[in-house]
Amino acid sequence: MTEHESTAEQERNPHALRERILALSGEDVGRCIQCGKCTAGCPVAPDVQPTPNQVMQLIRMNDLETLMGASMFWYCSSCQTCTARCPMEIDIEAVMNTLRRLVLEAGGEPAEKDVATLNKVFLRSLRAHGRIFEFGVVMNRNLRTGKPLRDAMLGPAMFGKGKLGLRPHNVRQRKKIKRIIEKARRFERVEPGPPDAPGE
Amino acid sequence: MAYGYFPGCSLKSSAKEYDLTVRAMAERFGVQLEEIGNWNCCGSTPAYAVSGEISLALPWNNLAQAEAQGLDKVLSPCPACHSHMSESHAVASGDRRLAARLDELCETSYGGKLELFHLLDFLHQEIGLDAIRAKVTHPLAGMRAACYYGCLTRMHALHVDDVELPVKMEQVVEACGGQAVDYSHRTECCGGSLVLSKIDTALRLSNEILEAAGRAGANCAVVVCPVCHGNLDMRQKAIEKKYKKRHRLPVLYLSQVVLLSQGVGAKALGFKKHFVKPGALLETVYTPIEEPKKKKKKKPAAGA
Ligand code: SF4
Ligand code: SF4
Repeated sequence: MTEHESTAEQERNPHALRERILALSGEDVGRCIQCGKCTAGCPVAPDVQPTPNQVMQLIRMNDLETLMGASMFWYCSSCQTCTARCPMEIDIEAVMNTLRRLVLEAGGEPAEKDVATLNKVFLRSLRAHGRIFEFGVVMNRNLRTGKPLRDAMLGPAMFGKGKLGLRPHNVRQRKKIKRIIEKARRFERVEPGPPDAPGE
Repeated sequence: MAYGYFPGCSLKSSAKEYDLTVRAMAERFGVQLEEIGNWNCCGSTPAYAVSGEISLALPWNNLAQAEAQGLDKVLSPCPACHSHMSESHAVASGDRRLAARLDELCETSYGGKLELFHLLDFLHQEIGLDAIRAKVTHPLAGMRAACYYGCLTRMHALHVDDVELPVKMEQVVEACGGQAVDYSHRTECCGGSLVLSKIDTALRLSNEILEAAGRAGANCAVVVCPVCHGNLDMRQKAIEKKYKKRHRLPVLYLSQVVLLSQGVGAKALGFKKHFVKPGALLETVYTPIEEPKKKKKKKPAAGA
């Protein structure tokens, strides 16, 4: 579905968002009874708006616009506390993750760019080496988020303890890993540019 | 019998001492660990945040490799890797079409015959508390451990322990002669990988855990996850600075605790790699052969 189609669909069908989430994650947010347990146990909720139960309500209200600018699901640490406790057995954490993908798919600006940047940098490292090269990920993230000195104090200490390698571990089958990442269906491109056309 | 072993990226860099001590521990129990050949990254949260297919396919490739190697049990000490592998593994018996798609993506095939273990259920099911007890030569009297599970028990692909009231880590610590303190933050989230993007939130969460452990009179925290260890140990200085508080709480991996109770020294335990030195802890916990300088200073617990 293109951006225009999804917006048009949004206007026609008052349940468009809820149904889209259902299709993508298998979770029906309509079952939510607004008990607030998800928010009560959420470790990041004190730092963000809207809270998890409010996110559920926004989906039901078909309010894609508010959700596009929301921070909650970018802060979500995927701890699954909400999912473990929801009395209606909604996998809330899966819904949060689906919202991240939805925003990217719709071409929206993530409300919390640093999280999205980290994900991108991480995947690039994975695609290039087949494993994660922690030093590369941290340096690259710093460059891309414009905070070159972040963790600067930690770096040398980690080297000292032999915890950060300067050279990446390359997996022998890394060409295959690259193929897997390129062939797989996804919403977001790992990096801009033609070799990375989105799947489907 | 040989167990497949999947260390994962963290155990190859920031959590080397976890890798080292899990291997050493297995050896002491006569368990042979065979690393999955040519393994790739499990994809972790970023792959999951971007694509369901990628996050299932990456572990699938490793599972297929392990199966091809003739293994039937696989141990992955990192809960994140273990969880992603378990989610992928569940596809083999649950969703035929998706399984075929993953086979196609990975240019291989996985039959779903593996049995997957995290360190905690490996210790309980495959080694057993009795065997752990039997090997103790240096009971850890004086250890007051705050066992920290974080989100481990919530991961729905796993059934490592009770979701809200886990006990398995405490049981291992007690089998080693140590004492486990009861405290409020055993299963609260440490912030996980948020430490790389939303650092204030992550530091707040980790600080709350350290404070709770301190209030309960713990003299160390015990973990089974490289991310928990990174947040509580590596970032502890940053936490102390931000909250103007002295924690100095050593954070040990459970594998280090088990080895410690068998008389293994600080060097072989990889303590050099820790940011908060467990030196003072060792003096109270460990019963050295000569020069027993047990300083038992009884400090009243704060807030009591
Ligand atoms: S815990 Fe479940 S039912 Fe309760 S508010 Fe959250 S999503 Fe709704
Ligand atoms: S998984 Fe996300 S939304 Fe759910 S409790 Fe954890 S941080 Fe909050």
